[in-house]
Amino acid sequence: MRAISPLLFQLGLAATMLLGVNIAIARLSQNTIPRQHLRALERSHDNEVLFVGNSQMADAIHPEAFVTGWPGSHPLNMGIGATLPVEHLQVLSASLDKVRPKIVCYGFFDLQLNSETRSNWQDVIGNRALTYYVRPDIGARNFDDNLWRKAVFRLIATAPLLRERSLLWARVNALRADLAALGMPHVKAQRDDPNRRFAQLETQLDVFTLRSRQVVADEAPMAWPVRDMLQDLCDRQIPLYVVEMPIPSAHRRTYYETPAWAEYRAYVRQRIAEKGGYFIEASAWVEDSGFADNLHLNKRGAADFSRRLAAFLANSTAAVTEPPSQSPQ
Amino acid sequence: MFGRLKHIFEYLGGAADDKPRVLPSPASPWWGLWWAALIVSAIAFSGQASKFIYIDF
Repeated sequence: MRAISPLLFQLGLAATMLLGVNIAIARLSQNTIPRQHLRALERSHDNEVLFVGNSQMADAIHPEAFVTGWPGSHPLNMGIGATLPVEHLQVLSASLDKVRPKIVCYGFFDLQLNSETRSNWQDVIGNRALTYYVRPDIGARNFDDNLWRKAVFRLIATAPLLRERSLLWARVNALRADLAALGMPHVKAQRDDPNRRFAQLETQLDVFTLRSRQVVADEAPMAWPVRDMLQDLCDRQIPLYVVEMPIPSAHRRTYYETPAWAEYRAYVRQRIAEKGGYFIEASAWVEDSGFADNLHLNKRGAADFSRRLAAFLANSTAAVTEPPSQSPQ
Repeated sequence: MFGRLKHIFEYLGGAADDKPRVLPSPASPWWGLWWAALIVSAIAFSGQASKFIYIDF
């Protein structure tokens, strides 16, 4: 017993310290971007125009410009950077638990609608951590393929130190980069170049073409979160507009202005229409000067896009008061 | 001074068996804090496995 007691004390002290660190991280994470959006949701009302998507959508909606294009509308942008369709479904479901929007717009780029959505705990960091606390019942579906992954999901969801570990990592990464930049003034500039970082998202053209053709040839279903979004909104009779988000001309020329993408787009448009949704081809709506980097709109680009989208939606929703039978072009 | 510090780190890292006098005995409950700090440090410094930096945008 005497030999065990010190060990128990040590374990108790370690557990107490870990509990304290968890409480501190939980407090630190009160103002993460997803939580700010959740608070905005608490203040929102029915009949808003709800936007869901990743950072492209988060940066694309300029509320004042949107209202200019559609007077009397109330945009609520729940787009959150660095998220995937499963988190978009979670955000949408959490939003629908609180409000009944007039319409929902879901932004996508490239093959996102058909992308593989299986998550690993190593990948679910930063804003994606919302998967553990915004409708976690949906997030857990990405981890329910075996008991181990189920247990890992529950453990991480319970412990803020694990769930929000990117709060620590971000600081450590910054420290590492600053140390690496000592005596090397150009290193920091390269690290912060967004085009360099976002270029990593681009797939090789031959792989992109092959994948898009495979989807059409196999009549592959869309990713399950996208299917669930479509089904849920169809059941609730809330119109969903799936928006092919604005993208710079270089990307369009390489990836979108191809026969393969035209076939993929037609296929996706049809799939969405089958569930009563609409497809908006907006990838060329903003000229290159309206982009902050090779993926996101700048303020002027967002204002232009928002006005045009608002006008489009105002006309569409005025024309369609019942679930649609055909996508507007 | 440097030798003592080196000895402390060697002991903490498991490279030396004889405990430096400045450290508490192996039975001291304060080692619990040490292990907890190591766990937190490992999580903070273990980085991420994904290809893309998702943290700061």
